[in-house]
Amino acid sequence: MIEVSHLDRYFGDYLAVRDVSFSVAEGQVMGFLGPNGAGKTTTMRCLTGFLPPTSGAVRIDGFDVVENPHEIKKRIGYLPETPPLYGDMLVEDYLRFVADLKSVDGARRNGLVEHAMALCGLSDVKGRLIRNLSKGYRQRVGIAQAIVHEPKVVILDEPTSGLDPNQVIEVRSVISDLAKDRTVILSTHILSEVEKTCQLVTIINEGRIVASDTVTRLLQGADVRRLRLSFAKDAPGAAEEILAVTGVKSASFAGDSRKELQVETELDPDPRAEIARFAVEKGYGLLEFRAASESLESIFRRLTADEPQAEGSAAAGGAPEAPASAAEPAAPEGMN
Amino acid sequence: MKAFLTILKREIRAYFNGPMAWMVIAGFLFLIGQFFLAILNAYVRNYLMTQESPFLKGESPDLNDILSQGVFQNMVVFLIFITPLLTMRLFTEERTHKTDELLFTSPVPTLSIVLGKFFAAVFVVAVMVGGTLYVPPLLGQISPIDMRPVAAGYGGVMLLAMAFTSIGLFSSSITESQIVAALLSFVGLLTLLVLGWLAGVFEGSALQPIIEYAAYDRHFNNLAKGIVDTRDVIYFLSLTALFLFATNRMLGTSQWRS
Repeated sequence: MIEVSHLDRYFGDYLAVRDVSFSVAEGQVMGFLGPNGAGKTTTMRCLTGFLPPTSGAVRIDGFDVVENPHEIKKRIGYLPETPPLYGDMLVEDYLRFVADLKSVDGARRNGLVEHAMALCGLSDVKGRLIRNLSKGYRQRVGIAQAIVHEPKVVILDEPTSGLDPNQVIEVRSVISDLAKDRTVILSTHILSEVEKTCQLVTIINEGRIVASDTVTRLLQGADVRRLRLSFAKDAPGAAEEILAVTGVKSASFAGDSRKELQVETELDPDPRAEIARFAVEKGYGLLEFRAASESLESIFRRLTADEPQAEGSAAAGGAPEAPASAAEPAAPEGMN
Repeated sequence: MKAFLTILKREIRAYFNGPMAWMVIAGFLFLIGQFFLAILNAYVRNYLMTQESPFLKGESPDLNDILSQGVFQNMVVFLIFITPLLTMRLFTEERTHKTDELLFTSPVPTLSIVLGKFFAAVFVVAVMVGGTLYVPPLLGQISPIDMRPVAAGYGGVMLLAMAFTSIGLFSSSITESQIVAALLSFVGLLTLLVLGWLAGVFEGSALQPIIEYAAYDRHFNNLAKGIVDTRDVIYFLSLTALFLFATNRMLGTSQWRS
């Protein structure tokens, strides 16, 4: 449904988005992650036809965004980072205005507006001026305007930013409702949201895609199995000894204690039975043996906080403060 | 066409939902009323003096002249101040409220957005100028008045207002600040006014006819006096089209959005 290939976008000399490619099939929900300033908003603006790409191609439902922007605009609903609201309009009038803009035909308009308001929980405030609404309601009006014309593709730029936890849950349920019959791309800082609502995840850092996969594969790792063993006694030699088991690729202790061992193994042949036998035979007192998937939070930190330092001067064109700001959002927001 | 009407309707409501349009219209009507009275007084005094003079006795002042000098010329001066105030918000506000992202990601031609906003502002000016329509019949009470030049004068004012509005609309499309947009269009309108005075300075030079053509005052004076010449009408319409086209191009290019 959505295909992005080798998308570049310059602002003057600054390359905001470089060589971004991904695709989203019909009916899927893609989470778009990245630190502030990574290029999420720019990429989304290129998808919606608001910003033309400098080079590369964006195709939605088979139409190219440069050649056929009109066709693409008919098919998408877009919630920008700041909801595009007119404070001097009533909620209901505003949604009718948007429906007219999206060339919904007159007979269906009022029904669609009612439907969008019901879906976003706006029926109680439909007669109020938008400028008098709370932030949570404004955000909902923003989502309602993105879906009022029943677009095939919905693009939401940080739909839950600035909302309280209850509102976040409500918005998330709206998104899950949408996902039943739409293709959705949503950007967010809230990593747990991606695990809950998305099938696909794309992580972008400094304008480049650093990971793009299904959520399950990203969490488990594509070609390794991660295991975790807990022992009753200290087992200082275990990390070296376990390497003797066929299929074990690496082993290390978690933290300072010698009781928690992290092991990475091949997927095939499956060495788990061997590892269990090994641990019991050595007499470490095996308390627990479980599969350990890397948390999305730690993947995010690994991909977005470390890479700029590793590359160092390679990203000379980028902002010098990028590593610091990249590390920042991951920590507090991952808590949610 | 549907998109044009959608934008037009919203913009007109936006004008009258806020205080700006009401204040501008009230101020305009008050000032026009004052100037009309002052000029009427001057003419009446003149008339009484001619009655005392043995040579001029029996001649009465031309009432159409009162309209042309007292009402239409003053309207133009006010419009130079008022149009920038009316047009400054048109695109700048979309940008500061980020609603431009809604407009430009909707399946709507940029031109219908430009025209919708343009005609909404022209509509406000029309309401404002329409508020002075009580003046000609009032004068008609004094002595019969020829309504044809009056109609030409009102037409001239509206043509001029359209050209002014298109300049204001263009200014608001090239900046994010309402103040800057208002100042830019004000400077633009003053330049057009000053060009008319400059034409005299270049007397005899090859530039003179060009400057005289570019300035609005000769074209407007003809219409205000009731002389309808298609060349003058074309001047105003092409000035309007030029700035509407420039606005459309401005919004169509990606540069300003970066």
